[in-house]
Amino acid sequence: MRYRFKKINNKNKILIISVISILIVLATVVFPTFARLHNRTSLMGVTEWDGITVATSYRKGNGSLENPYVISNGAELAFFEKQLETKDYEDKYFTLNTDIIINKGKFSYSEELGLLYILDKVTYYVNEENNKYYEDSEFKNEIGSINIIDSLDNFKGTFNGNFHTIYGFYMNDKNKDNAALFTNLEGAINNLYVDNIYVKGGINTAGLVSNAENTAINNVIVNGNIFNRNENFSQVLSTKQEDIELIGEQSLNINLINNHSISGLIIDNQKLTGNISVTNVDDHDYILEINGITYDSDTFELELLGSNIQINVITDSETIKIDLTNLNYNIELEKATIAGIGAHLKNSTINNVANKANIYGKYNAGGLIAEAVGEIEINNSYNKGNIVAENVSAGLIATIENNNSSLNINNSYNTGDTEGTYYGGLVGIINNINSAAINDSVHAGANDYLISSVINTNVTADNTYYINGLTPINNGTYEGLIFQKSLEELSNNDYFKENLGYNEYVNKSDLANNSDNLWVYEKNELPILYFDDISNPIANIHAGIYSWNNYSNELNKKGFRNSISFSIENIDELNPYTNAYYIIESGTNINPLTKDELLNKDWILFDGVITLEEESEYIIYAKIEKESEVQYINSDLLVLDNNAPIITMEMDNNIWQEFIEEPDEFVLDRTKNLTISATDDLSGIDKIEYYISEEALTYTQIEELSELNYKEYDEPILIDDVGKVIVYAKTTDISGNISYANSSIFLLDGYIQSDIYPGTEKGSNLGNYITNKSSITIETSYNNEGKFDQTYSHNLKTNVLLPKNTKITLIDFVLNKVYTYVIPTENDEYGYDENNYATYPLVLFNEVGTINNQIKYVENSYEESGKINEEFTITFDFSNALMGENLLDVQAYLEVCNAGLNTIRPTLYDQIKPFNVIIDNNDAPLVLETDYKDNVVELNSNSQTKIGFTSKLDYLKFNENTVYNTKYELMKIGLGIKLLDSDGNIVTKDKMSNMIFVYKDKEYYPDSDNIVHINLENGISEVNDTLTIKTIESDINLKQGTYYFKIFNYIAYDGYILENINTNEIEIKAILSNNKVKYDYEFEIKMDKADQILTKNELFKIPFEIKYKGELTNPNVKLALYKKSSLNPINQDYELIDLRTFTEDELNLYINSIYNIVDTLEIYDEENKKINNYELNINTNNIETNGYKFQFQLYDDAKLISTQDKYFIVK
Amino acid sequence: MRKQYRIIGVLLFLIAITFSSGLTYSFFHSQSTLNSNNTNIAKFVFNTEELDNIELPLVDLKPGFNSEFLFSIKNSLEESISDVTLEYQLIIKTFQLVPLKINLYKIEDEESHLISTCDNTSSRDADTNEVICNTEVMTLKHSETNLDNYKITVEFPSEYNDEIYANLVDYINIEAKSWQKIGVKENEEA
Repeated sequence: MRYRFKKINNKNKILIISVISILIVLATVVFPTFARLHNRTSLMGVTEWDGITVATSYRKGNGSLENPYVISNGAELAFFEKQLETKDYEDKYFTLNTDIIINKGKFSYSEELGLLYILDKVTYYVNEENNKYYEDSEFKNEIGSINIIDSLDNFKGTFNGNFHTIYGFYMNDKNKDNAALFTNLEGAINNLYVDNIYVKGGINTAGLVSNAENTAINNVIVNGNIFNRNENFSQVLSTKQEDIELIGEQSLNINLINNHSISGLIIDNQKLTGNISVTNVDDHDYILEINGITYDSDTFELELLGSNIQINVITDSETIKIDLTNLNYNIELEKATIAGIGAHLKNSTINNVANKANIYGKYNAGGLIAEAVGEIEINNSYNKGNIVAENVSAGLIATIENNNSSLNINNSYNTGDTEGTYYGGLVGIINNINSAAINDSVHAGANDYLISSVINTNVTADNTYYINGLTPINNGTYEGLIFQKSLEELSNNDYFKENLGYNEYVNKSDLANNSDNLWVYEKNELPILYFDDISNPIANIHAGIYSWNNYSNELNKKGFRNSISFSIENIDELNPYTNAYYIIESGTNINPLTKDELLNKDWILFDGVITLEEESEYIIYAKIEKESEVQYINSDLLVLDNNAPIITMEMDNNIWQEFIEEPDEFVLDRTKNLTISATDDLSGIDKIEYYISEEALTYTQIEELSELNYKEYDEPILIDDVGKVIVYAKTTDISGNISYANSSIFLLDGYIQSDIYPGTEKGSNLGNYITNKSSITIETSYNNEGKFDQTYSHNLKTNVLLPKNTKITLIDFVLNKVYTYVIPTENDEYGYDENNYATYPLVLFNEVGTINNQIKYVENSYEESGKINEEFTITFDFSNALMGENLLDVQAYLEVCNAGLNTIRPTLYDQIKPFNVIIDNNDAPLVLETDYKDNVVELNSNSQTKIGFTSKLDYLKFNENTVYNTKYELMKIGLGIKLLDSDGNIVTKDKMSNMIFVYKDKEYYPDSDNIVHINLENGISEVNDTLTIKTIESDINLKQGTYYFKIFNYIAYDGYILENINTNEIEIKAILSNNKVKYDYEFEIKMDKADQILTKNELFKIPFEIKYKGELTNPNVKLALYKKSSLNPINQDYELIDLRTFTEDELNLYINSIYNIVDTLEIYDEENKKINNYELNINTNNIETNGYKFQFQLYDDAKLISTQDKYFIVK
Repeated sequence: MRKQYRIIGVLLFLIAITFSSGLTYSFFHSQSTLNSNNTNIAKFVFNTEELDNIELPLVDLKPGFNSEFLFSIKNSLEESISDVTLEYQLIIKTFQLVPLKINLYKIEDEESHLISTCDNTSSRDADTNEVICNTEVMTLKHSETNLDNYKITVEFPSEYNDEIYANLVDYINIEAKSWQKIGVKENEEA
C-alpha cells in the first residue's frame, strides 16, 4: 500500500509526527524510570548537570589508550567542550564512566504546542527564543532554563561512550549553521547512546555529528527530534577546475566539474570565475571568447546556464598562449542537510548504528547520513525514525554524488517513513559515483522505493528486500537481486535469520570472538542490535529506581539498602498482560537461571508489591502471560546491603580507618605514598574517592562536600608538598552505603639542603667526592611556620660516626656567628651504635671569636614575625681526621628534637645531599698537556706559534667519580714560560725582547726572574686553551743555536708567584739560525728631565732629540707608549697602550699602537752634529696617575734594530 | 754623583698666611718664591730663609742611589716671631714606582731621630696612587725663636741589581700643614 503521508501538507506532517512523538513520550514517562534495556543502566541515579558549572579537569586520565581522559559528569563534559576551543586532541582517547544528563526532562515537539519539556511528570512550555521553560504557553510564569552545552567542535581523537548515555542534549541557536553534538569531526565515536536530543540548526544539522571527514562511528544509537530552522539557506558551492592552456587559434568545449551534491535542488545562480594571462603576443591580435563573451582582462566572472562552456581563441598567431587559471565553478543555491547520525560525512564508516530520531529537514534529510561524499560504508545499521524533507529524504543516506565516491551498504535496514520530492527507503539519490553495492539489506518502511534515483552509476544489489512499490528503484537501474517481501514475512525471525543471516547475539564473550553476532530477535520484529532497547515489552519488573522488561543472563549488580520492594507492571495499559508470576532466587554468588531452568520452576502468582528485607543477593524472575504468549523477564542481581564498607588508609605500616575530627600530627621527613583500600562483604565497593585538605573538617562538612571536590582513587597518593595536609577518604559500596575516614595531619616539613660543594667556596659544582685531606660544605636552611619551644634542641646528625679530629664549622647566617667543633674522640659518644646514627648537639659547638673560643652555642628559636628562619652552612674538614677507611654516602643533616629526642623538625630526606670521603694522602698533581707537535720556532723571524694546552689538577678517581682535593681551593693556576739554551741556562729577558707571549689576547713578557708568568684566570679549574708565542724578526743578542721554551704550570694564591710548580713541562724547540751581523750604530734619545714628571690635566709639549750614528741602510724611528702594569715597585712590567689616545698630533700608525715618527734619520757626525728633533704634544687629561715609558724603536727598513726607553710619570 | 745630589743648604718652608696652606716642593720644579709677609689673621709667622732651587731629581734612578736632604721649620720671620704656639705636621708623598726607602729624621742636639719611614708598605691613596706618609704633630712655641731641623734620606737599595731598574723616575713631595694650637692663651706656655 502506498503510504499516504506524501499528500499531506508540511504543516500537518509536522503535527502528525509530533503527536506520535508525544504519545511515545507519554507512554514512557508514566513510569518512574525508563525501561530496562539490553545492558543499559538506569539514568535515575545520575545527577543532572546544573547548566553552569564547568569543571577544571577531567575526572582522571592522560588521554592515552591505556589511560584515557574520563568524563564523569556534565561539568566535565562542559570542560571538554571548552578545551576543544583550543585543542583538537588528535590521537587522544576519551571515555565516559557514567551517563551524562544535560537536561533530565523529556523534550517533545508539536506544531500546535511547540516544544514541550516534561519534567517529573509535569509538562512545561519552552520558549525557543530564550530557551527557558514556563508553566504556561504564553510564557508568563517562568520555571527554569534549559541547560545548553555547545557542540564538541573539531575533535580528532577517539570518544568511547562505554555504552553510557548523553541525555537531553539541546541546541537551538539561530547563528549556528552546523548544529549537532559533534561538529567538524575527524575522530571516532564508539559505544554511545545519544538520547532525548533536541537540535534545531542550519546548513548541516544532525543528532550526532554535523560534518565529519575520515570518521568511524561504531555502536551508537541516537534518539530525539532534529529540525532545520525554518529559513532559507543560501550557499555558494565552489568546485575548483583544472587550469586551461590555449596555444594559437582553437575552440574548446569543456564540461565543468561539480563536486557537490545538488540533485533536486533549485540552482539560483552559476558562475565561472578565474584569471586570464596572455603571453607571446608579439604584436599579434587575438580574441578570447567564453560562451560568446569576449574577455581580455586579468580576472573574469562568467554567468552560466549550465556546466558547459565554449572557449574560442581567434588569432593569426601560432604561438600566442592564453592561460586560464584559478578557475572556480560556483553554484549558488539553497541547500541544507540534516540527519540522525551525520549530516555531511566524507570518507567515513558507520558500523552497528541506529537512528531513532525523527527528522524534519528543509532540503535533504537522511536517517543515518544526509550527504555522503567519498568512500562510505554502512554495516549492521538501521533507521527507525521518520524522515521528512522538501527535496530528498531517505532512511539511510539522502544523497551521494560525484567526487569519485563509492558506497557499500551491508546488513542494514530502514523501517522509518520517508517523505520528500525524492524519497528512498535506503538511499535517496545516487549520482555519478564510482560504484554502489547494497547487500543483505532491507527497506521495511511504508514508502515505495529502496532507492529514489540512480544516475550514471553502476549499482549492484544482492539479497536485498523491500516491501512496497512496483519497483525497488524509482529512476535508474541496478544489477543483482532485490526481492519484494511482505513485512510479515520479513518480521518472521526464522525467515530473517535464514535468508538474511543477521547472526544472533549470544553474550559478550561470544561477541568478542564473533563480531557479527550482533542481533537480538524479538517476536515479529526485525532484529535489533544487542545494545538497543527491545521494541515491544509487555511488562516491567520495577525495583527501586530500576526496571527490566526482558530476560537476560548477563546481569549487572544493583545495590539496595534497607529493603527491596518490587512490582510487576503492565507497559501497555490498553492491552495488559493476562497473568504475572514470579520467583525469587537468593543467596550469595547466585547464578542466573537459564531459560530451561525457568520452565521447571514453581511460579507464584503476583498480586502486589513484594518487599525483601534480609541482606542477601536476589534475582527476581517474572513470567508474563499475555494471550497466547509467555514472556520471561528477570532483574539484574540485586544486593540488599545495609552495612557500610570499611576503609583502610595505610602509610608505612601506619593505618587509619576512622573519621576523626581533630586528627593528630604525623611528621614526615620525606615524600610518602598513602594507599587507600576498602572492603565490603556484600554488595562490593563501587568507588573510592579522596579529598586533600589543609584543614581539619567536621563530619558535617565532609558529608556536605560537593562531589566535584573528590578525586577518584586509582593509585597511591603521593604526599610530596611541603606543609600540612589531611587526606579524607570516602568509599561507597554498590548499595550506596558510604564510609569516611581520614588520616592524621601529615606534616611534610623540614630543613632543606640547597647545595653541597667541596671546600668552602660555593659555585664550584664539583660533585661530592673529596679526599681525606679536604673539606666539604653543605648549605641548609629552614624558612617556614615551624615551632620551637625551650625544651627543643638543634642537633647535627650523621649516618656514620665521624672520625676523631674531624672539624665541623657551623656558620649561622641569621645570628651572624661561627661555631666549630672538633671530634675529640674515636669512641662512640654520640649514640651511633644504638641508633645507627650519630647525634652532635649544637650546644657542643664553640663560638669562634670569643675568648678562648669557650662560649658554646646557645639554643635559639630563630623566630621572627611568626616564622622561623634558619640558614647555616656546615663545613666538614677532614684534613686532620684520623681515617682508617673511606666514608661513603655520608649523610649529615640538622634536626630539631624535643626533650625526648623525638624529631620535631627533620631535614627533608629527599633534600639530604650525601658526600664521600676517600683516603688519598697525595695532593692532586698538576698536569700540563699539549697537542703541539714538533714545529720549531725560528727565533729571529716573524712567526706565531700557537700551542694548545690543557692545564688541570689530576684528581683521584673513585668509581669514575672525581675526588677533589680542596687544598688548593683558593688558589689559582698559572702558566710559566722560560727560554733555555742548549746547556740548560735560562735566557735573560733582555735577550728576549723580540718575543711576545699572548694568552687570551693579552701580551706577556718575561718578568724580572726571566720567566713569563701568566695567571690563567680560572682558579684551579681545568683550562683548555691556546698560548701563542710571537717572534719578530730582528737582531737579537743571542748566539746562534738551539733553544727550548719550557712551559710549566703552577699554583699560587695570586696566580703569579711561582709556587707548587709542576715539574712536568712542555718543551718547544727553538732555533736561532740566521742571526744578523751586529750593526755598528749609536742610537740615543734625549729628553728633558723636566718633562719626565708631568701633572694631570695639562697639555705638555715634549721635545726629543734623537741622535743616530751608523751604517744602517734606511734607519727610521718608531714610537710606542707603555704604561706600568702594576704600582708595585718590584714589578717593573709595562704594557703597551695607544699613544694616540693622549695626543692630538697626527700619527702615522706602523702596527699595533706603534707609530712612525722619523722616516729617515739624519746621521750625526762630528762635523754636522745633526740631531733629529721630534716633538710630541701630550694631553694628560685622560691619563691615569702612574709611571709610563716612551719606547723609541730603531728600525732598518722593517727590521727592528734596537729600542730606547724614556721613563716618565704623571701625577 | 752623591755630591752632585747632596744638599748642604737648609730648606725652609714658608707658610702662607692661611691656616692650612702649605707649599709643595717638587724637586723638579724650581722653588716658588715665598711671600715675605705673613701678617694675617692669626698673626703667626714662620721664618723664611729662602733656599733656591733645592732640587732632588729622581730621574735616571739606578740601584745604589743614596741621598739626603736637610731642612728646618722656624717660627720667626726676620725679626718677627709668631705670638701664638703653632702645631704642624709633615706629609711626605711619593709615587713609589721605584722601590725606594725614604726616611725622615728630626735632628735634635746633633742626633738624628727617625720619625717616619715611607716605602712600599705604606698606604696608597686610591685616587692619586700616591704613597702618603704623615709625621706626628709637632709644636713650635711662641715668643721665642724655635727651629726644628729635619733630614730626609732617599735610598735605592742596591740589591735590585737588574737592568729593569735602570733609569727609572719617581718624585717626592714634602708638605707642611700648620695651625694654631687650641687652648693656649697668648703669652702663656703651651
